[in-house]
Amino acid sequence: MTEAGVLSELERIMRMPPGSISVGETLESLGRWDSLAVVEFIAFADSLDLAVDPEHIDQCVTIRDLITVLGDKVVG
Amino acid sequence: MRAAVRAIEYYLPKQTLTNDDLATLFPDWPAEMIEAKTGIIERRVAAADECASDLGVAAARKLFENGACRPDEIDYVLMCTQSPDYFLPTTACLLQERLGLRTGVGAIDVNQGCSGFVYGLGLAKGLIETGQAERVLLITAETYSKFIHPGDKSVRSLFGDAAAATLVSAVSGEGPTLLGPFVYGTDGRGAPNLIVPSGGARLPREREAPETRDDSGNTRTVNHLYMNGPSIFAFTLKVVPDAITRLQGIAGLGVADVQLYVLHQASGYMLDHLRRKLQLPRERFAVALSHCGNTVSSTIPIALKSAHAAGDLHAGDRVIVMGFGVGYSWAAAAMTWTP
Repeated sequence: MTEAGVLSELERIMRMPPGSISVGETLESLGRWDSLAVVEFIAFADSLDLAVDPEHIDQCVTIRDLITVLGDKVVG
Repeated sequence: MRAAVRAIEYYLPKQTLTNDDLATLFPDWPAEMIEAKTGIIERRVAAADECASDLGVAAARKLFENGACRPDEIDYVLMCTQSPDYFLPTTACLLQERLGLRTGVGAIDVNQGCSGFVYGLGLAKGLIETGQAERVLLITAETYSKFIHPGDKSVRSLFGDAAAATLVSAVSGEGPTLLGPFVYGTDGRGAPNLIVPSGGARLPREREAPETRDDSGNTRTVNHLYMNGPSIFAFTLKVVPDAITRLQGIAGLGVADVQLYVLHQASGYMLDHLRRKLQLPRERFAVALSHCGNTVSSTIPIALKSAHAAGDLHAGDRVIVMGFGVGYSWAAAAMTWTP
């Protein structure tokens, strides 16, 4: 999975237009990062064969932090 | 002597809570999104004076009226509920009296939630196959709505009230097991993630409990149900595939041998993800929550009954059932459909 692919998936999860999310943005500023979005992010990670601890997601502040949670499942 | 599930009936309270109702209450939660995210169109809500025993009595009476057995033929009642009529006495004792069962019956409550039906099947099998009972009436009944804060759209959207009555009885003659094997699991670290904090001995119910509002805008107090959705989901992804795989290994069953998988109907989103993760064909994976929601321990018997009524289950079919959730607790079983 590429970084662009992760951004695209996050746009789908948060029902935002393509190309509207950048890695430096804070989750709070997007106004759409709620518990349902977290569930869908966990499902997305699971589809990459990665088990994510929800507490690690709770500590994320930016989009970049979410990408970091995915570790080596994200390349490029 | 072998134990088998012989009949199931269920009862839903009359009052409905539709997605349109929720969208009116929570304008940022449109009806179309509720259905897309939960797979639920409406859920039922018990009346103010309607308790778990009332729902259980109604379900059991349907069982008797449809000829599954006579009340006097029941020799044990298992009542699975987390919303008992009283702390004491045991709600199953109330059921004995209200259903006109003999006084020479056993009757106990089982305090378990989403895994409760499968735990109940295991207990019923034990009672029957050790000769302690011949016909066990397993009732699952919940009124979670009474614990839900009106301002908490997360749990209001998911949970519905209902009861199911299942007859588990002895089948004479030799042959392969009709109910089992079973796989059980418990992880108490998950206890804080689905809980009503007050009302028990640990924290008395507070008459004027202060309200809190979470980051998603849900309001509740310590007197109300709290659910950490992401943690529950992560737990489900971890234990469900492992338990199903383990169960199938013990039972010597491959996917092709199982006619129907019936998992706890927690939410449409979770079921869809689990089905894809387990690589199960859609036509052999039960989804039956659109018109009743997550009814806790009744979701599996409701799904089984619905599948049978729709002609998707036939005598001799191999079925795998699995409940998982509050506790954390989980239980899976294989069974042969023996109507």
